[in-house]
Order: sequence, then structure tokens, then C-alpha cells
Amino acid sequence: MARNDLRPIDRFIADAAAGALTRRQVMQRGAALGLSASALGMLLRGATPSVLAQEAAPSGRIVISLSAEPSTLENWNAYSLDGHPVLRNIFEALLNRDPATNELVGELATAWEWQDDRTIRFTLREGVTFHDGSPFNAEVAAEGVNYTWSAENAFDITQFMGPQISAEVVDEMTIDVSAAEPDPILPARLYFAPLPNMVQVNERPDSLPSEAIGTGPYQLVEWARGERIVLTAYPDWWGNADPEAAYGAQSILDVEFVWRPESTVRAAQVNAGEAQIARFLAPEDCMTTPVCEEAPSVETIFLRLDTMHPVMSDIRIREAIGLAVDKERLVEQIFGGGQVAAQMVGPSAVGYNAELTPLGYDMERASQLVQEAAADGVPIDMEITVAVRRGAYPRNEELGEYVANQLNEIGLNARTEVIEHAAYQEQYVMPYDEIPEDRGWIGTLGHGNEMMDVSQTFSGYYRCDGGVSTFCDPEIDEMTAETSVITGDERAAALAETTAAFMAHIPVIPIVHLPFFYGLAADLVWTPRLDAFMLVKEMSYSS
Amino acid sequence: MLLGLLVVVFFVTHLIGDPVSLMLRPEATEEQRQALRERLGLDDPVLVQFGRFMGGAVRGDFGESIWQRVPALPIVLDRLPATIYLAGATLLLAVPLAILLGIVSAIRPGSIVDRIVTVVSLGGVSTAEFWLGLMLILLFAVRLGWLPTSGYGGIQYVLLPAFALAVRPLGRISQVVRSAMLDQFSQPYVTTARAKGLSERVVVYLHTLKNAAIPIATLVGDEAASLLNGAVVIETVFGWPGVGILLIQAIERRDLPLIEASVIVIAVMIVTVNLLVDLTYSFMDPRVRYG
Repeated sequence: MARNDLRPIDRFIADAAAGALTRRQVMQRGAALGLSASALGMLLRGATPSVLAQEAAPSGRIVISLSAEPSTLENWNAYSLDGHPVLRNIFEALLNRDPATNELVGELATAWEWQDDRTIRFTLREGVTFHDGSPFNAEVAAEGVNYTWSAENAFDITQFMGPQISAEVVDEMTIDVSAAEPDPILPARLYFAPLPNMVQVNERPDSLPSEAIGTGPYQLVEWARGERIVLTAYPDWWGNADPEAAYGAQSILDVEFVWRPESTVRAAQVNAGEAQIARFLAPEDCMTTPVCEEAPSVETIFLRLDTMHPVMSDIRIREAIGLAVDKERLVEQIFGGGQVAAQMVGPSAVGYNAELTPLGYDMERASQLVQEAAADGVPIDMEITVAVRRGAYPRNEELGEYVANQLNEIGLNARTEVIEHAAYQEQYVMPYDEIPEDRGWIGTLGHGNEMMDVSQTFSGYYRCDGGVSTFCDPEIDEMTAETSVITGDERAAALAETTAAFMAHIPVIPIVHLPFFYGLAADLVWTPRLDAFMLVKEMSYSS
Repeated sequence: MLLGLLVVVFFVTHLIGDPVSLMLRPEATEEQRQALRERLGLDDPVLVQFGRFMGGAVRGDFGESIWQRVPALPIVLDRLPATIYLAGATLLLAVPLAILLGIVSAIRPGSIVDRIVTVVSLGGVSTAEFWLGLMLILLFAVRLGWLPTSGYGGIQYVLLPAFALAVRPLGRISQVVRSAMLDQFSQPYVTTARAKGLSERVVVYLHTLKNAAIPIATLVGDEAASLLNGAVVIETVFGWPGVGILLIQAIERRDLPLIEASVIVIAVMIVTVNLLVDLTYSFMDPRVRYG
């Protein structure tokens, strides 16, 4: 049998037995595969694989400190914002991602197959029950998909929808999920949408905001608003019978989520032993914790230029702005790590163009370009505003100050303006054709590509009608429309080509693929995921 | 008065903008935004929304929080005990100590003790609560392990945030006590009391302090109102589930029903505190009569 034909757990055991993994790798990969700490300890001591089958009951408790409290427990409204760290432990979706490879894998579905370019047939997992005991089947799943993505309901999660999504029952454990038009990233959209309990939706809709009843490994015990959310292991979770398929196990019994807006306080909680994970720390706070994990994310920090502005409409000026920003220095000194970005998505996204390189740092060339543009009549004295949203991400105000200073150095007229969230957002979402020509904004913000496919970014930033686009080129519009629907092996290359064409116009200056920092207790075994999910089934203690 | 406040609150909150732009991701389409506006009833004319608001407000129904999707008033009322608890603990720490320091300082004006108290009180007024809160956490929770870093609960949870909050009223009240006491010390009745042979303790604590109490009570009432209004910074640092942080979060999200409910509840609390202060005036000075 070829190595790739082995089950993941067998591959892992073979690697561990051959001594190909470090102790830490054994603990992290083993936890992700659902092996308990005791089993991993035995494996490290050379025990045979059969010993690993002897799993212990879940025990112990973990406290996870978040930066914000979920606003509601309705996953279709909170999931895309501050809710998913909690909710993804309670609810499950048809698909999830392999924590090690990020490939889509079955969760409530065991198999799926494209029927045509709009429809996927899902075979559902048997033996799944909701926390209230009600069964999971095709009827519940189809109704759940239709409810979640309903145009009439207009839940927040529909912002992640492309063409309208709907589902219908094929048989007791099979459903077809369709998009109204061809949508190659339909599976990724479904991974992002856990399925609700339709008995609760239909019979007790008022309970939905504060009572979460899913199929996941943990069930809700208590939500003391403003204070904490407590979960406990769901004893009848389907994953207990098949940890390998579940990509995790209930090693930990009780889970408590708390929230502290200040990064320093979240780190202090770990240092004082009150919490075992502090999420999204500032790098300097993370360094104080027993284990500081820097994890790549799907977020990219970038500058968005108003390309209709009389100064920034000149591509030489846009190039000069890119050349004046020392991205490597920013990555090192402002963001505390990460990868210098040349495009708006990281390497995890389908359509990432590995051949693109960031604009280098060259103040001399930048000044020269500005002078050339001025000589051709570009009004370089017109004011440019480096617009910073207060608190959008750590140190973005310093980023704004830095950019404005650099632009003034090369002969432009720039100032920084720090703007409150609400006022910023109004300007940020203004459609391209409504933006006043003299606004002159360089917006600083992050873009998250949760679908891990660059076509999600097309619809926001590349197109004339993009929700947050400040750039318009009919040729790019045409390219995005053509390449977004390509499937198969050609898709990645076609999307990458569109990205190269877009970036050639320099409508944005990517800066960094942002890492997230997590502070961990010394005995916690967990590797943060790229999608920033915090699945307790992937966590365990080494002691 | 509350009726006028309701009108002002409604129109001011509706001037601050469209909550939908904050509820969806920037990439959301205009159609998605419009659908959400319709679902929340924000596409109705302002007068229709106003009629709905007033009709609900008189029944104590401010509608559902846009952000939390449950009725707004109970959310605010749930947070009220935490706010009152923290405000009470803060005043309990600050007021007795401030009165004591003010008196000690006033008894010997210009002495070393007076100068130390002045420096301490001015330092308290000038200290940034945010910085002080973090320092207290790092010292007492992380380094010494005596108290929890943050959170809401029994007395061990309230000590650090109350101390961080108490420093400012301590400084302000002690300065007012000092000044009020010095003012009273120059009054003829104090000289008479001393000439009659009353002990200094009786002169200070029984006669002078009672007459100096009205400006002190006014300031304590002012501080209490300010604490009930929400200690946003300290609530944020310590993860304290009070009304202040709730109101700020509601404003950030343009959650109109929650803003309206929070402002009305805070206003009722402030009116109550002012009423209590006014009633204490008549207790402290029988010449003050109402009605």
C-alpha cells in the first residue's frame, strides 16, 4: 500500500514510530487526529498502535479568553463576526477543513460529488443527533441550508454567498445543494455555514439568540451575558465513535469562553493561570505568555487607493506610493511578524499568484516618479488622506502615520486621519461611482479571504461594482467574470492571471499577510488553524 | 422631562447613521444591505419609526437590539447590578478615605502632611485609569497572585477595578473637604466652640464637618452619577459587564434600540441620585426645605 493510501491516523503512527516527528509534532498532530494526551504519551514511549485505541473519557477544563463577546448564538448572524470561536464547537457544517492541510473534508457529510456546474450531491453522516436528541437527516439538512441562505431572511451570513444557494432532499440521507448560477467555490461557502436545528427554528424561534442546539462535540451549558459562555462535552457526539473522521476528540470535558477587550489583560489571564488560551494578542503581549504561537491567517493588510483622485489616478503616483512604503520594516517593527504581501490573498487561497513580487522600497525612484508626474501636470499638491479606522487591528494608527510621513517625503501632500468605526465604514463601502473625485483616501484595512479562493476577493475589490472597490477597468471586470466560473485544474492558473492583471494597475498596495498571535498555557497542546477556528476537539493537555 | 429626553434620544440616535453599514462586511452588495434594512424596519420613514419608538417606550419596550437580537431593555437592566456594585464599591473606598485625608490636611494647612495629601490627591486626579488598571493587574494578579486579573464576581473581583476607579474621586473629594473645612474653620461659631472649651475632636467632627457637608455631598453625588454613567475604561480593562461598556458597544454598532434603552436607564439613575443628594441636604441642614 502506498503511503498516500494510508489513513491519516496510520500515516501519523507510522511517522511517529519511525521517529520522523519531533515530540511537539507528535503532540500537535496527534491531538488534531483526536488522540488523547495519555495515548500520545504512550506513543512517545513506543507503545503499539493498538494501545491508542484505548481512549479515556474527557476530563479537565479549559478557559479561552477572546477579545469580544458573541453578539448572539444564531450562527447565521454571529458566525462571520465574533461568534465562530464559540459556535463552531456547538454547530457543525456539511464540510470542514483538515487542520493540517486546509483541504475541505467531510463533517456532517461523508461524501460529495458535483452533479453539474451548479449542484453538489452530499451523502450525509448517519448516527448524528442534535444536543436535544432530535435526529439529523436529509430533511433537516436541506431545510437548514435553505433557512440559512434564504434571501428573504437576509441573515448576515448571506454576504458570503455568491449566486443564491438552495437545497433539496434526494433520499433519507442524501441532499442536493445548488447555486442559481455556476459557483465553483460552493463547497467553501458551505464549510462556512453550520447547520441549525430546524426543530428549534420552527418550534421555538425566540430561543435562537440565546440557546444554541447543534450537533457538535460541545453543548451549551450557560451563557451569562457579559461574563462567560460555558460548554461541556456532548456525550452522544458522533465523533466519539469515529475520531479519525471527526479530526478530533473530546479530550477536554468543560470549556469556558470569557472576553477581555485588552490584549494585555488576556495575556495576563494566561500568565496568572486563569485562562489556557488568549486569542489575538499583540505580539509584545504574546511574548510574555508561557507559549506564544504565531499562526498565519487569511487576513491581508493593505492600502486601498482612490484611483479616481486627480493625483492617484496617475499610475506613476500609485507606483511611487508603493515604493515609498518599506513593507519589510513594517512587518518586522509594526506587525511583529508575517509575510510581506504582493497581492490581497495569501498562499492558502486558490488563485494566489506565486510569481508576483511586492514593490520594493526605493524612496529615490518614488520621488523621481512624483516629479515626472508633476512635470506632466499632475496636481501633486492636492491633499491625500491616509484614513485609519480606529482599533481595526493592532498598531494601524502607527501604520497610517508612517505612510503619511513617507508620502510627504517623496513630495506628495498627505495627512493621517484616524476615524471611528462607523464613520469610516460609511466611506469605506461607498460604491465606486459615488466616491467624490477629490476625496483622496488611502484606506488602511484588512481583507480576510475566508473562502480561500481569490474569486471572493474579486467581488469586493477587483470589479467596478465591487462592494468596496475604488478601481474600475472593464477589462478586469471581464476577466473576473470569465475566470471566476472556471473549474478543475485550470482554475488556479486563470485566477492567478487575473490577479496579475489587476495588480499591474496598482489599485492597492498589499503590505502583510497578517499573522495572529495566541498565548497558550505551557501544558496545552494545540496548533492554531489558518481559518482561526478554535475547535476544542483539536486541543488536549500534555499532562 | 423623560418625555423630552425620549424625543431627543430618538432623533440624536437616528442622526448617527445607518447601522447596516456596520453589520455587514465591507464587500456586501447594495442588495444585501437593502434586504437587511428592510428586515430591521430601517427603511420606514423616520416619523413612522418615531411613532413606533414612542409607542413602545411608554410600555418600556424599546424593541429588539439590532446587535444582540433580544429585547433591548432587559439587556440594560441585566447590566445594572454590575454598574451599581462597582460604583458602590468605588465610593465606599474613596469617600471615607477622602474625608479623612481632607480633614487631616485642613487641620494643619501648610504642614508636611497637608502637602503630602495635596500631592496624593492631585496625583489621583491626574492618573490615567487605563494605565493604573493594567499596573494593578500585573502586580496583584500576575506577580503576587492575590486577586483575579479581571472578571465579575465576589469581593475579590471588585477590589482592583474599584481601587483603580477610586483614585480620581479620592483626589477630588479630599480637596473639596479640605477647602470646605478651612472655610468653616474661619467661621465665628468655630471660635466660639473652641472658647467654650470643647475638645478639638468635637469641634472638627461634630460641628465643622457637619457644616462643611453640603459641598461634599454635592461632589459625592456628582461622582456617583459619573460612575453610574459608566466607567467605560475600567469596565473595558477588567471585563466588567457594566452599562458603560454596553452603551459604547451599542454606539459603535449603531444599535439604535440598545442606545435608546441605555440612555434612558442611565438618565433615570442620574435623576435618582440627584434626588437622593437633594434629600440629604435637608437632613444635613434643617434650613433646607422642599415643597
